[in-house]
Parts: sequence; C-alpha cells; structure tokens
Amino acid sequence: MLRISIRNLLRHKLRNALTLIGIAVGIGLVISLGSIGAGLTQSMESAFEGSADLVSVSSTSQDGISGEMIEEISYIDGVERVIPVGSYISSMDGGGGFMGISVGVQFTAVNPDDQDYIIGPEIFIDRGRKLEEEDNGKFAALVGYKFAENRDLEVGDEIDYGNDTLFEIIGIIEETGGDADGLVLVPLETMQELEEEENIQTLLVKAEDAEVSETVAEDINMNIDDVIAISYKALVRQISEALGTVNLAVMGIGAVSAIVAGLMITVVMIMSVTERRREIGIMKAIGATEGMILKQVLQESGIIGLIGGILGVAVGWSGAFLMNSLFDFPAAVTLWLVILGMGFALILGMGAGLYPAWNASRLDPIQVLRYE
Amino acid sequence: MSSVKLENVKRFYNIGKTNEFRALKSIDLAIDKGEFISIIGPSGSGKSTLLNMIGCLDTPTEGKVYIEDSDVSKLNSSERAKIRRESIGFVFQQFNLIRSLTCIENIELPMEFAGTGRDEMIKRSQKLLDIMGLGDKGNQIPSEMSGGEQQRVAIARALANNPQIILADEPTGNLDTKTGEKIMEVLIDLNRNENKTLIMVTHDNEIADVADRIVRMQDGKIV
Repeated sequence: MLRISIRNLLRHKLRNALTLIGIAVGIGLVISLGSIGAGLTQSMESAFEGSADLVSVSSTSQDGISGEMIEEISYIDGVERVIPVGSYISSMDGGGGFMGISVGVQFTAVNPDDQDYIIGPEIFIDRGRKLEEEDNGKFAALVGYKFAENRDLEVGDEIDYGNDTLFEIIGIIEETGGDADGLVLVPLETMQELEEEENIQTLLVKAEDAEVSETVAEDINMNIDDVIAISYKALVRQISEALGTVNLAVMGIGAVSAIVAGLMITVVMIMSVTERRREIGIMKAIGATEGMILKQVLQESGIIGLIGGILGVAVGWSGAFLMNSLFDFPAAVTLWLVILGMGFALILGMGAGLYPAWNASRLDPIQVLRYE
Repeated sequence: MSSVKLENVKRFYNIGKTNEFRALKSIDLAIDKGEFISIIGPSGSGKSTLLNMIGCLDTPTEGKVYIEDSDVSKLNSSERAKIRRESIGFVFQQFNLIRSLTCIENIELPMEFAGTGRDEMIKRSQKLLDIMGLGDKGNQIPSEMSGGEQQRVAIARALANNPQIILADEPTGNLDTKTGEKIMEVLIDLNRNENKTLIMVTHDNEIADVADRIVRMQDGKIV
C-alpha cells in the first residue's frame, strides 16, 4: 500500500512539489517565529542562571527598610545572607531623557563585601580595582564598561553626584553585555552618611539554595510588614509565561499560512482522487474495503505533510540561523519546536486528506467501471 | 453443494419514481461448484447487473444471494469486500489493471488487501505469472504489454487469493480472435483442471457454446 502511495505521488511531481513548498514555508514560518520566543526565553534564563537562589525585597512605604527589619529577615529559615542595596539618583545626566526631563544616573550602593551579588560572580575588573572594605565612608565608585566609555572616563577621574559631591572612579568592570555595563557602584555607608538616612529601599536576600528561594519569599511576605518579596525564580517564571503567550500568538500567524498550504493539499488530493476514480473502483472491485481506500489516500496526503514538515524544519532552522548571524538575535530552534512543526505538518496533511479520502472510499465500483 | 444460488432476486432502480427501472425481475438461478456457465443476451437485458449481483458488487432490492452457501444479500460493504477478495476472481473486458503498478504488483494487490505476508505474496505472484507464461515480464508495466498479455496478468490477479469462483465479463471482447481463443483456453483449463466455477458474460454465441450451460437473459429475466 505504501508503495502505491509513493508511486501515486511521483506521478505528479510538479504539482506535489509546489504543495510541498507551501507546507515548508508555512511550517518554516512557525518554527522561525517560534525560535525568536525560544531564544528570548533561553537568553533570559541564562542571564538569571546564577541568581536562582536570590529573592528581591522592596519596601512598600516611604520609610524604607530599617536595620531591625534586615535583622528579622536574616532570622527567617533558609536565609543565608541579606544584601542591602541602595538606589540613589544623582544629578548627572543619564541621557535618554523623557519629554525634556533628563533622568539622573542611578548610583547603586552596597557593602563592598556584597558587590559580587550585584555585578555577577564571574565578572572581572577591566582596569583599576573592585571596592574594598576600607572604601566604606569614602567617595569611591566602581563603574561599568559602557558607562565609562560613553563618557570618556578613566580610573582616577571624578564623577559628580550632585551639590559638588565628587566620587573618584577606582575601577572599571569588564564588558558583560548585560546590566553591569551601565552600573555605578558606590559604598553603602558613604551614601547613608551623605543622605543622612539609614533606611534603604531594596534588599537582595540569598537563600541557602534555589529550592527554598520561593518559600523564603513567601515567609518574608507573611512575616515582615511594608515589604514585598519575590524570588528571581518566580520572576523568571512569570516573564517566561508572558513571553510564551506572546510567542504563541506570533506563531499563530505562521500557522495560518501553513493552514492555507494545507488547503492546497486538499485541492491536490481531490484532483488526484478524481483522476484515479477508475483505479479506485478496480481496487474496490477486487476486494479493497472502504477503510483501505481511506487509508491509502490519507497516507498520500500524510506523506506530503510529513515531507513538507521536514523541509519546513530546514527552512525554519535556516531562518533562525540567519537571524543569529545577520542581526545577532538570539533565535533558538528547540527540540520542542521541531516536534511541534513536524506534528503540525503531519496533522495538517492528514486533515487535508480527510475529505478527498472519504470521497474516494465512497466511490461505487459499478458506476466507475461502467461509465469511465 | 452449489457455488452460487439466487432466489427470487430483484434489482430495481429509482423505485417509485417515473423513471423506475427494473434491471432484474425475479431471478432464480443455481450454479454448481465447478460448473461453467455463460450468460448471454442483448445489451440492457440485465446480464451485467446479474454478474454484479453474483460478484457482491451490488445488493438485491429483494430476494437472496448465496455464495458458497452463505447469504450475502444483507452484508455490509466491508463484509462484501471480503467475499470479493476471498471467494471471487474478476476478469474484465478492459483488463482493468492498475497502470502505475508493475505486473507483479498488480497480481500482489488482492493479497495485499487480504493481509498476506510479504514472502508468501512474492512467491505466489511469481508462480501465477509463470503459469500464465509471463514469468520474465513481472517488472513491466501494463502499457508495455499486448492485450493478450494484459488479460493473462488480469487472470493471474483474479487467482491471487485462490478463489472458488471466477467471474469473467466479456473477457475476449477487446482481443483479436486468436488471442481471444488462447485466453478462453486458460479460463477453460482453470474450470476443468482446478475445478473453478466459471461464470462468463459474453455476446459471442460461439464462445458461449463452450460452456456447460447457457443462461439467456432478456428484459431482466432468464428465458
């Protein structure tokens, strides 16, 4: 039976090849578009990879987070370390102003001991040095690569926080391609003295391991007033879910073109079955059941779908490859996308064949053999 | 034991309409196992409808059809397909081979429908091809063969599942006299030496005369 299907398909090479192209383009579009979302999700997940055990805690009141609150949080089960993070807006022009109002550069303040949690554990210094314990109380700043480059700053240069308060650049972080490139990191004690304010707005809490980070966030929310805690794990999950929804909608656009190609299969199969009426009549006369004829036609449209799907995966992979190499966009063709594309193509092929197959199976051999 | 039995079989088309057509009017016919009968009659006399009835391609409006003593008049389409591929071999005037398949694949087709194993299928179809004197032409496609050769392949296909009954509808109608005689020899040989029941529709009286019995049809009746 399979041999007959293949033989039948080879009888109309051009017609079937055009249909294949239609399916391949449709499935290719689904996969290329899907690879954008998959790539975004992957790059986001890898960006947060070292941070799965972190919980972000923000104050919900004007008063901020006090030293006692920090102590309480540090007693919660599963908490390994509490990292106070101060955020201060300087009078420096941060560029990219909004409606004529320029936004000041953000100074991020931490204890020198905690600086690796902000810039990342595997990140090194390009020039100068990192913050040290003795810098607490001093006007020293460790800055990101882009921040320095954009302003032509070097180690030893000074930057203005406002009111003629100058910070000396003691080091420049290597280029990371991430958030750290725009960072201005200063000692927390310096800022607390300068602003005459002990309380801060945000904390990072490091859990003992990633497994307990969500429980730690829950416990903080339940036990500490005026703060909101969210684990990075939950954050990544929420963003992933949102990305997934957007991604599905985008892939739907590709799916529409694949469905149009599926209608092409239906037309081609109707033509093929019409041309073969006599043959189908003969097959039924010599003992083929309706089910066998149905299977035969579905097999043919299924083969078109399957080959179209394989070509579609190749098209989609090429599309993703081009996005990567030409636009430096992190498109990723995942196994799941390949399975989805192939499955969709197969279902499309079989679905498109249903009506022609049903028609063929109902042919009356007496009629067909008498008149044709 | 009868091979085929028809009891009061009627076949009407467009019942109750002004163009009602009575193709078969009360047919009673019993054909013994191993018998060779020919059905003759003018066109429109109902002989093709009768053959379709015996061949389980059609079902009677009224009456009963027995194939090898089992009633087939109330069977559904897939049960009738099973009778067609197991008990009956068809030989047509137009040969009706599948054009895209080779000789050997055409012969294999009924076995494929019956679910015969691959090895058995290859062995049997080659054997049938040898019997038909076409042993070396298995890989040719029908259009490369003469009419006589195509009809031999069709007979081989009819024999694929070793049916008891062979139905031949004007088997020599598309062949020249000499080739026609050879095809008749093959069919008669199957009847005499393999004890196949042979039922043949023809309009050629000379060919009809070779049969054990002649059934004459006129206006949907046996006369």
